[in-house]
Amino acid sequence: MKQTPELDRIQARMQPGILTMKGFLGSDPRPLAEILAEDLAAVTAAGVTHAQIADRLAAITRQGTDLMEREVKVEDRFQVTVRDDRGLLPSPFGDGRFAKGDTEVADPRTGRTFRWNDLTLHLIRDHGFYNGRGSDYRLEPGELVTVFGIAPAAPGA
Amino acid sequence: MSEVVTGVGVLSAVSVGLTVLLLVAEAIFATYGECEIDINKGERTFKVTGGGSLLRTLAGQKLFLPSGCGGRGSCGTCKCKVLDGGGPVLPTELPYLNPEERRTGIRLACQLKVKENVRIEIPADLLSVREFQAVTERITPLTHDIRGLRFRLPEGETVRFKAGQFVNLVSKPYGDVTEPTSRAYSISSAPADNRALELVIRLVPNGLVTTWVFNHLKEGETATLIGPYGEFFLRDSAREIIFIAGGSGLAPIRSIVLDMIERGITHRPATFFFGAVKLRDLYYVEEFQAIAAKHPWFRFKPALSGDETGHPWERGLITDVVARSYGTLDNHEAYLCGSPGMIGACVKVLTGKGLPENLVFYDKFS
Amino acid sequence: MDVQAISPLVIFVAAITTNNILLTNFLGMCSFLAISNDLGSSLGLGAAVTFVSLCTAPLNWIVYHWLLVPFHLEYLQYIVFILVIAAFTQIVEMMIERLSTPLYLTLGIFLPLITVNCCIFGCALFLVIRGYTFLQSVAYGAGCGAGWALAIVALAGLRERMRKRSKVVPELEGPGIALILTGFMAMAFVGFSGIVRIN
Repeated sequence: MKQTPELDRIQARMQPGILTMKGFLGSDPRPLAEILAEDLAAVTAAGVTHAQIADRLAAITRQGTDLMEREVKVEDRFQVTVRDDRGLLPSPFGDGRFAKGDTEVADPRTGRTFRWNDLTLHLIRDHGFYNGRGSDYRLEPGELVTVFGIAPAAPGA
Repeated sequence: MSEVVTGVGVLSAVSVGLTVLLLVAEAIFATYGECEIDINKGERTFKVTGGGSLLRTLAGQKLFLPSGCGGRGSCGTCKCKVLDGGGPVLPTELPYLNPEERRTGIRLACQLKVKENVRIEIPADLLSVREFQAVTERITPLTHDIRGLRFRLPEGETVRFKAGQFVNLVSKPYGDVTEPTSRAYSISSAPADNRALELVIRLVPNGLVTTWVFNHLKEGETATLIGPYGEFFLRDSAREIIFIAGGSGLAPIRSIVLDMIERGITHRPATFFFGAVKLRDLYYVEEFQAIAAKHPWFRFKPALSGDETGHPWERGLITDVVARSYGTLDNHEAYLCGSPGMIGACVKVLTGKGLPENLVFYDKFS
Repeated sequence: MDVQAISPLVIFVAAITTNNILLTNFLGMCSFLAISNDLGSSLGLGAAVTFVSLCTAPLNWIVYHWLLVPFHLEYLQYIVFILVIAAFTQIVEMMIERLSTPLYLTLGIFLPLITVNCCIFGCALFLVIRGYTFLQSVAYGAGCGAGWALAIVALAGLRERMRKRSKVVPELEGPGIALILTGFMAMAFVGFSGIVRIN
């Protein structure tokens, strides 16, 4: 995948202080095209799709929604808190604005914590973007697949 | 090469010459001296130098009439009522005024030139929406992630707002953030306290403005506030009041309750449900308890949804607490402030108990 | 024929009749068509155009002969003339606003339009092309404006009368019939030919 001028513009909007305070790239110095390509390779290697991953995470968020930030145990394993924050975050791809309010997930079994919001899931589902390395919202696709047990879709499905 | 230079030189000389000529002409012909503008029959008056359009002159006083086209006379949104001093209606205004408006003295502020003392009438809301350069008087940590801020207005200035309205707070550039950004926050102080504005702000992870408030804004520094705005305020009726708030949503409820005390509204029973997760999320508890002890019409019911024990408060989600506190809601009004999720869930509970949707009030901060 | 020998008076009369800038060169058509609906406005705009053209013609002559020619910058004439006209229109507007409110109210909307009136600009270009002297330019400027005013007032009169007396095919109403009338007027003005000749 080639870094197009359009991707340059999107990557510029991902810088800190433009749309959000810390931006979307963390300390990742690579061109956006390279980030997207590597994450896509990891997703493909696991035999799943971006949409499957986003759906799985969205389902976890739903379990914690409407509890006014009370922590809830999901699937007898994950500790989930869904924050209620007012306001909307614009997508760096320029395709919509998404509610703030992070889902914070802790997995005692692996000791891992995860954080995402509606915008994070939109970027995964529609753009295959998992944030840059070092970002607070970075989600490693391979890790998501193993921790949340995302199974390859049945052949033909 | 030299031809280019002389060309540019002569063209510049001609432009400069004509500009000087225009400035001289303006100084001779377009001077109207000092004029006084009177708004809403003496509510506010100020002296200005005549010659500019009414729209620009008002903007110079930080009074912003709505204007779509920026004063070119092509949108017709800057209409205002001119009582006298506006001169005859100009041909450029006619297409935007219907006969009724012409009769009552409605004019386009961008076309009308201030040449003498002018008396105008504008909606009271516009008069109160202003930009304040306020001094950050006090920053109080209320919980681990909520702070109370008190801004003192410049000497001699006062603000008029309805309890429950909000203002926009403008952050200054910091760190990687190069642009000033503004966010809406409800006013938590009482309207009677009109030389200051208090806000309650909760830190939003990665939030542009809240991070500035928590990490950069210091006591004594000035900050820009614009407002007040909003349709969230106490309606005039005899119904019993249900206040529900979560997190920083307590702010406008505090303002409304303080205002009710100030105005001596004692005939309406009111209950304030304040939802939080843990004990550490509660704040202003003593203040509301004191109010409840002093004023029999007011009850204060904090509710904690977490599994802490050993506290005197209600337990459970705020929606459950509200649900079990009331039977049928047939003579009530509800005022909600909090996250969209909380508001959505509360509206469902309240309407489920028979409260009509038009008696549930909340600010969407759209 | 020696242009410089023509009397300014002849040039003035010719600019109104045989060389009417609107009816022979078809310059200044946009405001001509837009404003000629109404006799009163036509008179006002006509007067304003006449005044501006009377003043800008000598002004542009001075700028051209004293500034552009000595520096060999004739190619800049278009942009410089427009600048002069625009600035002058501004000054006229300020003056009228200050000195006579009723006149300002009648002309108000038309004054800024004069800046982009092709008639004024065309007049400035013609006086350069034809090599007029200063006095001839004054006369030509006055004539151009007066001729334009005559044409627009005449058309406005015709249109006003037609509104009362005649039925126009709906498809031709407005600019359509105005253009046809202008054509007839142009042909009628051919009748002036032979009185004076300036080119």
